[in-house]
Amino acid sequence: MNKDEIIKKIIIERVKTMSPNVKIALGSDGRFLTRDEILQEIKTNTSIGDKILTIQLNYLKALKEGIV
Amino acid sequence: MKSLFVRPCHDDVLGYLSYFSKILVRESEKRGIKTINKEKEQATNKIISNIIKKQKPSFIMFNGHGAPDLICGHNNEVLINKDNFKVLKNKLIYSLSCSSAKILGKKIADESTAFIGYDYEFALGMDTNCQTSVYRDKIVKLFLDPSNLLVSSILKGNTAELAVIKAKKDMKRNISKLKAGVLPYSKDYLPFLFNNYMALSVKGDKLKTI
Repeated sequence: MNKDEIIKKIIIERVKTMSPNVKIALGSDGRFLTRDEILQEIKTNTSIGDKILTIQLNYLKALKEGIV
Repeated sequence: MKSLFVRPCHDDVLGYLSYFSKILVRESEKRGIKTINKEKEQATNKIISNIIKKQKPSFIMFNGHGAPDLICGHNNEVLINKDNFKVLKNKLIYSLSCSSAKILGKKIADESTAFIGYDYEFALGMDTNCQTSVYRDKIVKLFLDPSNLLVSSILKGNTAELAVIKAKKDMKRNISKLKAGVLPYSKDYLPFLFNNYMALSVKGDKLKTI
C-alpha cells in the first residue's frame, strides 16, 4: 500500500466516525451530502471525493502543526 | 454609490446562500446605498452584464456556484469568465462561490480592483434537524455568518482587507465553538469550516472601499 492509499484509508475511517445526521455541501453539485454519500464519493474517487480527502488531510496537518 | 447582489436560488445550497444574503440587501438599502437585487431567474448573464455596464455598481456580491475560472448564476449559466471579466474592473467584488478567486479573481484584481473570494471550494454544513426551518439552523450560521460579516463590513465603508480580517476572525471564533463541542456533532464540521478559513482571500487593491 502506497502513501496515498494509506492516507485515503485513514480519511475513510475518520469519515466513518461522522454522525449520520451531518450534511455537507461542497462544489457546484448544489446538494448536501450525508456521511454515507461522502464515503461513496471518496471510495469511487470522484472529484468531490478527492476534494473532501484534501480538506480532511489539510485539517489533520493543521492539527499536527497546532494551527487549529 | 451603488451595490449589486446576485442571488440565484435553483438548488438546495443556493437556497441557503440566497436566504442568508437577503439581510445584506436590506442592510445596503438601509445605509442609503442604491441597491440592486437580482435573484432567482433574474440572475442571468444578459441581465447582470447589462446592469454592470449601465448602472456601474461599485460593490458586487455574487452568490452562486463557481470554478477557478468562472462565476455562475441562475441554472449555472456562466456570468463571468475569461471573456468578460474586464467588466468588473475598478470595483470591489465579493464572490461567495467555489474557487473563483484562484484564477478568475487573480485576473480581475489589479491596483484599482479588489476581488474577495475563495481559492478552493467553499464548504457548507447544515443541521438535518432544521431542513424545513433554515432560520433555526445554528450549524449553517457558523458557516455563513462570517461571510455576512464580511459584506456588512464593506457596506460600512471598511477596506476589502479589513472586511476579510473580520470575517476570518469570526471564522476562528466559530472554529473554537466547534472545537468546544457546543453544538451536536461539532467535530464533524471542523475540517470544512477550517477549509473556508484557509480559502478566503483578497486580491488586488486591498485598501479598496465602496
